[in-house]
This record gives sequence, C-alpha cells and structure tokens, in this order.
Amino acid sequence: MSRVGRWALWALCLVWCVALRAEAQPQGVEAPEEIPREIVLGFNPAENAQTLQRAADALAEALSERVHLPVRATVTLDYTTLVEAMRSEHVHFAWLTPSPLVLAERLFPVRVLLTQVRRGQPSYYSALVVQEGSRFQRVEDLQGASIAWVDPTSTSGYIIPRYLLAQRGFDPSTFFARQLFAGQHDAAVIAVQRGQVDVAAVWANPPAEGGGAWTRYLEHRPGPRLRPLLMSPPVPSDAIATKATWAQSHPRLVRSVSEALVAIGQSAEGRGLLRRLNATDGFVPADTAHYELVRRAFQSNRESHARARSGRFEDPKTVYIFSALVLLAAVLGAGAMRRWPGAQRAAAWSLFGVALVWSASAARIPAHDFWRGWRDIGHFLRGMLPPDTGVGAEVFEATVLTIRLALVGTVAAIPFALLVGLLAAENVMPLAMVRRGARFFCNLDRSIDLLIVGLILVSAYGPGAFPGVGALAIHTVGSLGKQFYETLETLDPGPVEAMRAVGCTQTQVVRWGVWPQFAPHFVSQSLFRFELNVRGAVVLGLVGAQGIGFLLQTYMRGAEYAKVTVVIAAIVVLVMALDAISARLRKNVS
Amino acid sequence: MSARLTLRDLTRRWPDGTLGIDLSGQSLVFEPGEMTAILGPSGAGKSTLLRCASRLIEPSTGEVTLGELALTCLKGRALSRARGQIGFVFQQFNLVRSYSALDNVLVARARHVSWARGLLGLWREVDVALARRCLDEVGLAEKHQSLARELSGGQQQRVAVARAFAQEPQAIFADEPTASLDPQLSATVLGLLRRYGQRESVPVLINVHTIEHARRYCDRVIGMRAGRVVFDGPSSTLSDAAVNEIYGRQAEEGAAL
Repeated sequence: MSRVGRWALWALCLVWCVALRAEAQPQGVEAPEEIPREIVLGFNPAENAQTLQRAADALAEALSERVHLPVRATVTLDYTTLVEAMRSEHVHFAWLTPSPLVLAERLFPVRVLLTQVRRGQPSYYSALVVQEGSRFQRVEDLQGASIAWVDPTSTSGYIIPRYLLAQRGFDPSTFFARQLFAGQHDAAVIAVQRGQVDVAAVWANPPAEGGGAWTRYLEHRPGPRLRPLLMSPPVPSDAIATKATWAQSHPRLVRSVSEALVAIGQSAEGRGLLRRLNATDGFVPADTAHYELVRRAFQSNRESHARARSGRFEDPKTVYIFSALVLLAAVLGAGAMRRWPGAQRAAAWSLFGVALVWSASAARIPAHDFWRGWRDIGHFLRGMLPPDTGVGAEVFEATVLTIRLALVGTVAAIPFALLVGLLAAENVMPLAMVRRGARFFCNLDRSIDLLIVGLILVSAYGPGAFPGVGALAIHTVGSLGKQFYETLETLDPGPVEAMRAVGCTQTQVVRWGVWPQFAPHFVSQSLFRFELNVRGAVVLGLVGAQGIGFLLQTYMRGAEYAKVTVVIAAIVVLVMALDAISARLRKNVS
Repeated sequence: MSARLTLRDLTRRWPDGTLGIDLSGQSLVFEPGEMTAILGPSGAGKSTLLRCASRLIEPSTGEVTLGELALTCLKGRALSRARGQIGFVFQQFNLVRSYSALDNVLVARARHVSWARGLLGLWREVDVALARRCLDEVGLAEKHQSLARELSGGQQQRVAVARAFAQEPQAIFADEPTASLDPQLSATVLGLLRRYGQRESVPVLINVHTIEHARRYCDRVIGMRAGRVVFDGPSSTLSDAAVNEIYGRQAEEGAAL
C-alpha cells in the first residue's frame, strides 16, 4: 500500500490547499458607514423559483444602472430564510409579502419603504377556490372538506383565509378534515384542479376584475375550471422593506434605491421588467401602518394555533406517569430484581410492550384515510411519467455541484478530524485529560445531525453553497475523528514500542510507528466519508444548500413531477456509481 | 565510547500489586563487550527487566546507569534520546511492514537528525550510508528496497537487528530474539549480536529460552525466577543443577529444553 497511500495522501493535501484557496476568496467584510460593495435584493418564491430568479436578476440590473452600484438578486427557499437573511444583513432590501413582514417585525425593527402596485392598486385579495362543478356553495359546506393552504406563513394562502373563517365563528384548525401545504400558489390550485383536495386558499384579483391565482396558473392547463367561494377584503400588497438599523446607517442609499424603484415602475421598459415579478405595475411609498389588517390576522392565527396545540398533544399527566414508571423499572431492574432473572426479563418485556402500544398511538395512523394517501401517491407517480429529459443539463450541473460541495466539505474537515483523532487516541496522546476532551468533542459534534448543522448555518449565512459545505465539514470533523481514534487504538503496538526504543520523540513515534500503519485506514475512511458526504450534500440541498437536493425541492414545490423523475434518477445513479468507485478505490488502498 | 551498564535495586510493581521484578538489594553490572543471557521460565520477569532497564516500562524503584548517563533520572526528550542509546531487538521484530528494509533501519537515525528532518524522513547522506552498511552487515545487501512484509521471519529479524545497530547504541537488549526463528536462523542472529558487542565493545543482554544458545554464545548467564535473580555466573559454570534451580520442576520434565 505504502506507495499508493503516499500518493493518495499528497493528492488529498493538494486538493485541500486548492479548496481552501477557493473558499478564502469570497469573504467580504462591510463597514457600516460606507457604501456596501454590492446591494442585495432578497425575494421569496411565490412561484417557480428559477423563473423568479431570472426576473429578479433583470430588476437588479435595471436598479444597478440607476444607483450606480452592483446589485445582486437572491431568491431564498422560504420566508423564514429571507427574514433571517435580512436580520444578518446579507439581504439589504427585501421584497416581502405581508406575513413575513409581520414575522420580521417580531424579530427586529423593520422599515417599510414601498408597497407594490398590482393592476393599479396597492392591495390584493385572498380567496378560497373550489372546482366549478363541485357541490360547495357556501362556506359552511366546506365543513369536513380537504384544503390546500400555500404555506403556514403565506398571507393570502393561509393567514387571511383562516382569519376570515375565525371571524365567521369556525375554528380553522378543526373545520377541515384534511389540510396540506402545497408550498406555492400554483401547486395549490393544481391540487384542486386534479381533485387531490376540495379547496385551496390563494391570492385573487380585485372582485371587480375577477380571477386570481386559479385563472393565472391554470390558463394553459387542461382540466376543470375553478371558482372562488369566499373573497377577502383588500390586503396590502407586497412591501419593499429594510432592516431599520441598516436604513439608519445608510439613509442616502435607502432613499436613492426607493426613488429608483418607483422610477422603474414609471418607465415603460421598467414596467415590462416588473410584470414578470408577480405581475407588478410599480411601487408607491408606504409605511408600516398600512399593514395593520395583516398584523391582526397574524395575531388571530397565533391564538388559534395556541388553542389547538393545547388540545392536540398528549395529556401531560400520562407522560409524567409513564416516564416515572420507566424510571422505576430501570431502578428495580438494576438493583433488587437482578436476583430473579426470570422476573426481570418478564418485567422488561411487558414494559417494552406497553411502551410500544403507547408509542403506536402517537403515530396516529389514519385508519379511514389510509388508502386515500395511496391514491395521492398514485397521482404523484402518474405525474412523474414520462420523465422530462429537457432538464437533463440542469440536473447534471446540479449533480456535479453536489459532488464539488461534498469534496470541499470533506477535504476541509480531514486535517481537523485527523488532529482530534490523534489527540483522542490512547496510543498517541499520553495525557488523559486531552484525550477525554477530544473524545467529548467528537461525540458532541457527531450527535448533532448534519441537517441540524445545515439549518443553523443556513439561517446564519442565508441559503447557498457555503452553509452546505460548512455543515458537511463541521459534521465530518466529529464523525471522522471518532472513526480515526477508534482505528488508531486497534493498531499493532509493536512498531510504536520499537520507535520509542530507538529514541524517537512522541511526534516521531507517531510519524514512524503509528502513521505507516494508519495511512491506509486514513485514506479508505476519508474516501468512505466523502461518499457519505455526497449523500449528505443531496439532503442538505433540501434545507437550502445548493445542488441537486435544492433542485428536487424546487421541482417538488412547483409540482413539476416529470422533472422530479430526472432528479431522482440522477441521485440513484450518483449514489450507486459512487458506491462502486469508492469500494474499488478502498480495496486498492488496503 | 564503551560504557558499563548498572542496574541497582530495580523493582517493578504492577498496578494489581504483584511484583514483576524485584531486584531490591541486588546490583547487576554489565561490562562493555560482555554478552549476557537471561534465562528463566515464562513469567519470571525477563522481558520486564529489559523494558525497565531501557525505561520502555517505568520501574517502580531503583536506578539504571549507562556509562555516565543516569537513565532513571531523565524526562521528556532527554529520556527519548537516552533510550536511543540502547538498541532493542523484539521477539516479534516490530517492523513497519509497509516500509522497505532500508526505511525501517533509517528510523533509527531519527535521534541523530534535526526534529523536522526526523519527522519528514529527510535523511542525510551519512545516515543512509550507515543504514546500508548495517543491512549489509546482517547479510541483507540484496534486500534494501524489499518491503518488510515481503521478507521471511529470519530476514525481518535481521532487519530489526540492523535497526538496532544503526542506532550506534551503547548497549543492546534483545527480548527473545530467536523465539520465532528456526535453530539455524537463531544461530545467525545470536552470532551477529555477539560479534557486534565485541567489536563495538558494548554490553549485550538477551532473553533466551534455549540453554544451549546461552552456553554457546554468551559469556555470562543470569537466571531469574519469580522476579528475582537466582543465578549469576559465567556461562561455563551453568550446570544442569543450576538449570533445574532456575526452571524448577519444569526442567526435570524436560519442558524448558
């Protein structure tokens, strides 16, 4: 192995250096008094994220020409991410629908600059829509029906319609037999058209004009038409807002960007751009007082959720009684009952049985709705065929990106994993305190799941490739470090003793007695970790890190199941190919 | 150059309280060029004695001096360097199996080069030349580049002997160097150790089980039993009665021979 191992090692070192260089570049620090290097506009996806990105890029370019500064547009995965990005000042100007605005106001002071004008009005409406020929005529008829909301933070797709129901005396949490979140307005109306649900809550045009999400998104889709069953009063349109403290420290910039956006809406070509952004006509100046209705609706919803929650979960008493029983059983099992093994075993089994039955009730298996779920999966599967191979290039690029993220994340973590692994190994580190510290670190780091690290980093840095790489790297240090020290301790102590005997210092003992034995394990375990990290990078895409997982999420939300097929096929091929290649490489190494 | 090795009052108590070796009140002096066999049944403390004397294991009490060097007073890097004054040959060779014979010998030079060179394996010309000479001396002139794992048991043990020589040691300890070898190879290895000890005038201590070897290759025999020295004299005075004394009833049953 020695030669192969050494070459592999040098190659890994090289890749690490290159990776670190690549990582080091995009770091920028902004000074609060100065004009930022670039202005970032944040958008949340109301429809297909990629279409939105293209339209947002065009707006950013137009704005850049007017304010003479680089402007970048970023589309976040969901409202919460956008709000977090505002808070961390990764996004300077956010295009906020009303409910994330209220969410942001709860977290930090927000200044509303402009309100969006659509069809000549700075407000819009929300509607509950059903199939044209359905039996539902009045709101009361919807009792026990199934509904597709857009998103738990969507104003027109959740907050306002629930507020309307609550005003009519219905408890929105129990009014419907089945509720689901479609993710986006187009997906919600498609679900009604396909009969997957009875009713959807989506945005609507002013009642005088008629129409809304259901006419816009279903215009070119064959199938049943939809009609509104319930319309809301006018809801203020989307806001352009900034974090108040940032606006204070950049007053001139905020003013010039506001003026530029209004001006864009007044120019003919600018309006052409804005049309593509959620059918926007322009902007008018606004302030936070305009959004009082939304704030009330939001408040009402939180209260109704709080009420629902208290009834929905287990009776606290049973939880405490059961936990006390388990504790008692553990105490008895450990002590007195050891003398009667038969009784102990019987007690353990019966306790296990009770725990199982009790836990099964927590799963809430939908007894009468079970087959209905299967029918919906059938809808999904039919939509997946035939695969839309037109997205092949896009999927391929995302796959390659995923591999690159995994490579950088893994390689960046390896030196640190090696360090903690060495510090934790008994045959390397003589000081027990250091060993215990390193071990504790490994176990702590390992126990925080990759997805959790990813979620934390995404909320800190905003969605993008970096949080994904960071999450992989952080998780890899602990898990690979643990694998390293466990392997180190199984090595033959002979060469180690021989190196001590020839007069080597501790570092030299590690170099000549430990390392030559460890190197093949080091290479094969690092390779295997890379393989695991590619799979991890796929899943991390779902929480907003870039790559193929992100693409999957985008297609799923847009109900583009034929494209989803291509992504899933790519993931399967990727994982299988990687498994085969890595297995062969590892065999060669050891 | 030539140094005398002295062990005084050396004891080693295991964590469970039993005595591994107990030389309290005893003093052993090994003259330069003298080859000593340590005999005794398994568990008599022979290996423990050698490891305590080179401080691979910490002795509980007592002192070890090699020439001017008081080994038992040293710590840290000074201790590492002092250990390097003693060439140690192990029963299981303890080579790095994925390295060549030459690389295995070169690590013995780590003590003689700068820390960084020792860590990176940037050996000096003189070190490489010395390592080659040591391999030639043990009869492995053709095998410098062979990987340790490709060598036979006898060849591996000769690489280990060459490694000990390359330390330019002030003393050589060998812990049952022939236990894994056939009789002819055993004779070769013991001959190498004896020749080196006499030529460089350093004390050589070997643990052996074969009384025949002790009589033929060694000047002096020390018999150990239950951690105590029970015999100490020229190998010519090692009578069958003395062997029985060392090995107890085992010798009568012929097990140790």
